[in-house]
Amino acid sequence: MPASKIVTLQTSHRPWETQQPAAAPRHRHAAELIVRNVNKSFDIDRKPLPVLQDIDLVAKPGEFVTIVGSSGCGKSTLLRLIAGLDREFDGEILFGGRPVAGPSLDRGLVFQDHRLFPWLTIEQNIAAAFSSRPIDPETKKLLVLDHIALVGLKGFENAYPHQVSGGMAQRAAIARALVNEPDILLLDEPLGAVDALTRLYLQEELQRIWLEKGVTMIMVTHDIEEAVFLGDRVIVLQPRPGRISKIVEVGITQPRDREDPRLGKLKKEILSEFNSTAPINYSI
Amino acid sequence: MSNAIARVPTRFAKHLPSLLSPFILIGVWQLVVELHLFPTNILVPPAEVFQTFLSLLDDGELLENIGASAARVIAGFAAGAGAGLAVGMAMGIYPALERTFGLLLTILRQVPFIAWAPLLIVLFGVGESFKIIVIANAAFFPVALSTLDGVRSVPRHLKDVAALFRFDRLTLIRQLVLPAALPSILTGIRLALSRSWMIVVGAELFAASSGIGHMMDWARQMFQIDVVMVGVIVTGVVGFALDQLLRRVELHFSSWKPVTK
Amino acid sequence: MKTLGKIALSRNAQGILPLIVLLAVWVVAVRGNQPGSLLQNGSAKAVLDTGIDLIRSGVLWENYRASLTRVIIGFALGGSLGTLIGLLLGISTWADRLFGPLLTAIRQIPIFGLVPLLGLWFGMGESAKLALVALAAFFPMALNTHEGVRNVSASYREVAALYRFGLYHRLRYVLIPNAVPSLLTGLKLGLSFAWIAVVGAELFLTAAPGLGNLLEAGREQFRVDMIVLGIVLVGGTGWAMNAAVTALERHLLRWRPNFS
Repeated sequence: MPASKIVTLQTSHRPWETQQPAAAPRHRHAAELIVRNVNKSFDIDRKPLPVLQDIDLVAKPGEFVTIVGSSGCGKSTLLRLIAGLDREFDGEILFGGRPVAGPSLDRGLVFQDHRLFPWLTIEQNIAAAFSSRPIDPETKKLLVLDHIALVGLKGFENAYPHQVSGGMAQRAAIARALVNEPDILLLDEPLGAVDALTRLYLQEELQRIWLEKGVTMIMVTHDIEEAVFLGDRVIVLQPRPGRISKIVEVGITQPRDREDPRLGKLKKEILSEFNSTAPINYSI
Repeated sequence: MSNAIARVPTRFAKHLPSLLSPFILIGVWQLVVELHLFPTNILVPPAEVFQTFLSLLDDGELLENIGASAARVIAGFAAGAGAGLAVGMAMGIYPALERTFGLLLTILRQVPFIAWAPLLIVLFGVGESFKIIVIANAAFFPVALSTLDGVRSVPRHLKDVAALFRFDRLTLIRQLVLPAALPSILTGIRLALSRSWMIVVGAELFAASSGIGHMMDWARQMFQIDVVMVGVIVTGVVGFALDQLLRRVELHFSSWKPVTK
Repeated sequence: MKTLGKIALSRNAQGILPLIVLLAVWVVAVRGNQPGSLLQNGSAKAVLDTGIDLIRSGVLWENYRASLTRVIIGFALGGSLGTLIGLLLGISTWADRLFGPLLTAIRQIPIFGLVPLLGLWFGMGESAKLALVALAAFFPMALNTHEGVRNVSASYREVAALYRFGLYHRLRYVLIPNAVPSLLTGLKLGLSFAWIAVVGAELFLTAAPGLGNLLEAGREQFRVDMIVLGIVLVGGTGWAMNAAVTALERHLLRWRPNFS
């Protein structure tokens, strides 16, 4: 486990977390995510459409887990359940031992479309993440600038989202999601809306940020190569309904070399999981 | 009881409040009258207004006035919209025209239609022509503007296709420009018709011997609040109906357009 | 560089051309022989002279100021009420379902069609005028505020939920910025309608200082010069109000991508 660079301005007692018991403060990164027996279906035209079926997964602190699957396999839905944006499901989702009951600053989420507020500058967007917790302006500014540097956007603090490229906006969104020092970062196809070249670059950036921060990450992607490149564990999801068909341990130390033949083998292994008749997206 | 409500299909339940609102208004109206909050020359009960409406309908006075107003609107609108269509199209197809006369039109547009009235009265007297010209003036600008806009916004790449197929000017207009600009033109027409209806009432207030506006003004002078209210409601309903009708037409002709949020 | 400047000038000059031509025709051709005739009054010289006279005597300013006062007060009343109602209907779904159609219906009534009604209710004096202006400003503001508040994309609302925004931050970071473009459109329309209502009110209701009064007096006395002055002031002010809001728009909406 790479040493995590903890920003020491942070205390371990977070007053904004309403689920916090009065007990002893938790150690950072000790929170484990447990998804147990989760099932979910949507009601379409009064008929239930199962979206997720018997999902069991565990993410240990500091792990990088990737979830790969084609469209319609419910991977975004799963992430939204973990983030707490959607609360209707059967089963259990526990984080740090306590059930997830709504969004929390402990669990960050990055969307596929960056969803930065177009009327705020990059800096203001990231700073807005602090809205629900008391924090003094100096600390806030420090943290914001820190994270802008972390994602490599120094110099663009006062730019509006439409003035920067899609890749840069997504990096800003990642900074926004990280600025509250969450215990876990969920990424919903974060590189899906970005061109192929930028995507390769951003994958490496993500890897760098993860190594630096040491925060648990769960990333959803349709790109198998991306999944094996970044993930410690790759969870393969089959569609309709979304269920886990295989969990692959990558077992190669980070940072990784793209040309590593082991990655190619793993990619083939995962590829074979998918039904050849079902269309799949994979990059070269 | 709550179970019965729960079983009502949700789509109906969604529209229920909207359907209720006119009844609520009438109900509040009746209540206000009963409480004698206003003297009777200011507010009369809905029932009385309805009675007046029926009697006006009966002796033909209402329809006669609506007809007179409508005739003016049609005449003025036809003239103004027609001119607007021609000018907008010309300016759109020949950019030189737009460069030359665009500024002039923009300046003329700044003057609200109502401010032209006194000048027009001085020049044309208070007869029919004045009212029709005022309406034409008001109908002209929305149509001209939206036609110009529609013609101008024909996508460049489509024009390139037309050039590839070597369309001559007339074919270009017929096959490409007109259909492409049609949604925009229809929006302009809808706005122009709406405004025309609004203006005819105003124009009739100046001096008229027929029409809805005249009917209301006359009633006002005779302190016949019920007739005034009938006029108000009728103008509102007619305006609404016109607008809805044109919206449907617009929608029908814009069905090829991708739905943008 | 010079040639570019020349080309730019010639492009703009094209627009000015018809104006210059019209102006020339007016100055040269419109003149009458008999004093008091239309042509005499309508000549450029007459307009200029009358203009200077009225400015000197303070009459022009008196009338102009009265109209300005009416539009400011009327717009403040109607516009603020409209914004509030629009906000309410935008935030509360049931209020929207209940009262929305009602407002849409009342909006269909031509503003000048309400003159007889308002005349009966408020008399034909100042309060009726202000009521008319307020009403004219009310609907565009209500409508546009409603639209601005209502059409908040779900994406941004999810972000607000994710970061656990309270009501204040939801308003500050999501609802209000999202509504500003519509609000500004409403402002433009509201001011425009209010200004039209001012002129109309002054024309249709009892005489009192105002630009409408100037127009009306000109009409009665067949003084085209007074009418022309009135038209210029009415049109010019309308344009200025629009230009002011457009400038405000450009500043407040500078975060927007510019699609030409």
